[in-house]
Amino acid sequence: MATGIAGSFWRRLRRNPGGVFGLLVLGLLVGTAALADWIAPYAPTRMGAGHRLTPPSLAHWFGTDEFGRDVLSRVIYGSRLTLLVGAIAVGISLVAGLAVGLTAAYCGGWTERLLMRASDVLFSFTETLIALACVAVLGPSLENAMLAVGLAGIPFYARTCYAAALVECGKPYFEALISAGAGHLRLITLHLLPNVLPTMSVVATLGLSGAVLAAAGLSFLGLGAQPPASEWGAMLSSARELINRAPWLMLFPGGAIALTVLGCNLLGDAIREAMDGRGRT
Amino acid sequence: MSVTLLDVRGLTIHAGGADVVRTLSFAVAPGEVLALVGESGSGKTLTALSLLGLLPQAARVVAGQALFEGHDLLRVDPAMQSRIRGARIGMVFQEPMTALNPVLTIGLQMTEALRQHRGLSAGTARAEAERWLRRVEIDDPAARLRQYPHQLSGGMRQRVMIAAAMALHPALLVADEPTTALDVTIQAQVLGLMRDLVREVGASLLLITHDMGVVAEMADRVLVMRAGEAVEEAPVARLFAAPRADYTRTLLAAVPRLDAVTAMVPPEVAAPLLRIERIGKTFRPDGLWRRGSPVTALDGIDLDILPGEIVAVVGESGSGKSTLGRIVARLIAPDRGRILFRGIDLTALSGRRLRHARAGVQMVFQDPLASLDPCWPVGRAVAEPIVIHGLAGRREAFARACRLLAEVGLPEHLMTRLPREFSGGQRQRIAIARALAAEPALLVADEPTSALDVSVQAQVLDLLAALQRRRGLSLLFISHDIAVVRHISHRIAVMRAGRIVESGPTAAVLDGPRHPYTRALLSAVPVPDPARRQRARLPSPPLATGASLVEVSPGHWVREAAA
Repeated sequence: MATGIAGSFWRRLRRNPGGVFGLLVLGLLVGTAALADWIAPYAPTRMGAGHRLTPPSLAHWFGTDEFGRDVLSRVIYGSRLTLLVGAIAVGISLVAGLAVGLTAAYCGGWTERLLMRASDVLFSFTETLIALACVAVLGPSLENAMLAVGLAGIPFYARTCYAAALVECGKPYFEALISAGAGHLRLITLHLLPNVLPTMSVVATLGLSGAVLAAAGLSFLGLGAQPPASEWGAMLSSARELINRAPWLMLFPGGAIALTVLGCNLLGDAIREAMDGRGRT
Repeated sequence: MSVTLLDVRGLTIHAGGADVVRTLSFAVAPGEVLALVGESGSGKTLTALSLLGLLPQAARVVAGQALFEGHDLLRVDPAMQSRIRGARIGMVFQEPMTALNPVLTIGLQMTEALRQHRGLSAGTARAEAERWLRRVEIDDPAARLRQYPHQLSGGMRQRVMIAAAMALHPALLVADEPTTALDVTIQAQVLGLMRDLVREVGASLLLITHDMGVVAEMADRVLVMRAGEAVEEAPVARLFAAPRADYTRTLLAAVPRLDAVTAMVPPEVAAPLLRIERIGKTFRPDGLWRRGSPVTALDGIDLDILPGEIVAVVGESGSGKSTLGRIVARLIAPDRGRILFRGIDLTALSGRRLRHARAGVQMVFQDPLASLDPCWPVGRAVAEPIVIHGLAGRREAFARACRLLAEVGLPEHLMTRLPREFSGGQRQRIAIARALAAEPALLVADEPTSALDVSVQAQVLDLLAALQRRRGLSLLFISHDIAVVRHISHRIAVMRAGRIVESGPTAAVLDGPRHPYTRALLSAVPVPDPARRQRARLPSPPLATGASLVEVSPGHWVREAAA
C-alpha cells in the first residue's frame, strides 16, 4: 500500500512481456549507441574494409556495401543517429505540444480557440508533408530533418495534452486551488503539468517510433542525413538500386528500423496499460 | 412462506484476492419485495450481478447455488442464461442513460426485447410497448417510442427502463439503486410506480439500495449486508422497530430524519458576514456560432449570512444552487448583482486583490477524490493554501497542516500518503482541512456528504458542525437532501429554477412550509418508518413566475404563488 505510484507502476510494467521486450530493445539501442566506438569492428565510413558487396560472413557479419564498408559497423553507428533524431524530434514536439496544450486548456476563451484551431489546420496535413515542406525551405540535412519531424509532431502532442489538461481543469481540486488563491504559474507547473505528464509520456514513447520512421523516411528520400553518414534510412536509400544483387544491404538497416519501432510501440502500450492501473490501490 | 421463487444458498464471490461475498443465503417468495441493504463495499451489487450472470471479469463465483424456476442461475449455460435474463428476471439499473443504447430509439429497444422474448409480431410489440409506457405514466407514448434516450429526462428514462423490464412479464425484477440518481420528488414517483406495478403483476422484487428511507417505503423483508456477509434478516416492520444487530442500529441511527429535533442555537444578530444582492447568472451557449438558447441559472437571489451562521440552500438538480455556491466562492462571475463579503464587493475585485480576498471564502466539493490533486501527498496539499498566502513559512505550514488534519480526525503518520490511499470519508475530511488552511470566515459546502455512505455522512456532518462551533465559521451548506440540512442549519433557503421560493429559520420552514414546492419536497422525502409508507404525496407545483417574497413570520419569507 505504502509504495508510491512509481513502485506499483514498475511492477505492472514488468509483468507485461511486451513492455519487457520494448525495454530490452531500447536498452540495446542505447547500449550500442554508447559503446559504438568499442563494439563496431570497423569505422563506419572506412571504404575497402572488405571486398565490395560480400554477403554476410564471419569477417563481415552483415556483409559489405558497394564501397566495401562494413554494414554491421554502419548499423551500429546508425543507432546513434537514430536515437539522436528520435530524442530531439520527440523533445521538440513534446515541449512545444505541452506549452500549447496547457496554455490553451488553462486560458480558455480566445487563446484556446486560436491555438487549437491553428493546430487543427496543421493536423489536416499529413506529418510527412509538413516535414517535407520544412526540409524544402531549410535545405536537406539531418539537423533540419530532426527539426522538421519535431515540428510536424506538435499538433498531435498539443491536442493530446490539451484534452488531458482540460479534464484536470474541470476537476474540483483545481477550483479549490483557485479559491485558495493559487496563481497561474503554480496551477500550471505544480498541478496541471504533473497530472498530464503520465499521459504525455505514453504519447512520447509511442511518438518515438513515429519520429524514427519519419526521419528515416526523409533520409531515404535524400532530404535527411547526407552520405557518407551511416543513417539507417540513407543506407536503405543507397541500397535500393542493389536490391537484387545485395539484399542484405536493405535487410539489416531495415530490420534495425523495424525492431526499434516495434520496441517503442510495445513499450508505449505497456506504459499506457500500467498507467491505467494507477488509480487502483 | 413455503414457496420460494429464488433460493440463494452459500453464495461466495471472489474478487481481487479476497472473498467479497461470503456464504450468503437468502430466499425471495413470489410477490415479495426483498431489500438488500448495505454501504459501499458490502457486496450487494455483486450479489445481484452474479444472479444475472453479469459479474465483471475480475470477479467470479466460487461457491453456492441460486435456484430459480428449476435452474441454478450460477451455473446455467449462456444460451439458457440469456433466455432467463430479461424474460424471467428483469433488471433496472442506477443510471438509466448507460443502460439504454443511446443510438437506438426507445421504441426499437423495447419492441426488440418483446419480439425476442415473447414472440410478438412487430405491430403487437409496438402496441404492447405503448401500453406499458402509458402504465408508467408517460404521456404521449406513441411519440416517446420514436425518441432517443437523450431526449428524455432522468426520471422518464428510469420509467422507460421499468416499463421495458415489466413488459416482458418477469417473475423477478432486480433493481439496483433504481432511484439514487434521481431528484427526490422524482424518486418518490418512481418508487410508488414500481411498488404498484410489481404488486399488480404479482412479480417479486429484489431491491438493492443504501437508503433506509427507500427500504422503509418499499420492502417486505430486509437483508442487511456488511463487508460481504449478511448481518441481519427480518421483516421490514420488525427491523425498523427492533433491530437486533449493532450494525443495523448504527445504520438506522445514521439516517437523517426529517422529524428529528433541531437544536441549533441561532447566532446573535450582527452585521452580515456575506450579503448576496440580486445576483443573476445566465449561461449563454459558447462557440463560434452561438447556437441554442441561453439558460438562466440564477434570477435575482438575495441572501445574507451572519457570522457563525449555517445557512442551507436546498433544491433539486437545475435549481441553480451549485451555481450560487460557485459565485459566492467567485469561481464564476455573476452577470448582475453584488456579493459583499465583510463589506467588500467581491464581484468588483480582480487579480491580486481578488486572490487575497477570496481566501476568506473556501469551498468543499461533492466528490472527495476529485477534490484532491492525485499527485500531491495530503500533508503537502493541506499546507498549500498556507504557503500560497504566506501565512507561515514552509516548515511551519507543514506543522499547521498536521494540526488541521488532527483536527479533522486524521493521524499524523498519514501525511505523506496520496489521496487514492484513503477512503471516501477520509478524503472529504482532508478536503475540509485544506479548506480550513486558508483560515476562511465562510465555508461553502456543495453537497459535501452526497457521495458518502450514511454512517460516514453522519460523521462528516458532525465534524462540520463541530468545526463551525469551535472556529465560529459561517457555512453555506448546499444540498439536495432536505433531511440532511435539518441537523445542521440555522436557516434554510429553498431554491427552484434559479429563485429562492422560501427562506427562514430551519424549524419554521420545515415545520410550517408555506410554498407548495417546499411542501412537495418535504412530502417526497422517504421516511425511514415502514408504518408511514402510504402517506399522501403532494405533486410538484408548476413553475410560478414574477411574484415577490413576502414575510409571513419573523425572518420567514415565502414567494407568493402566482395564483
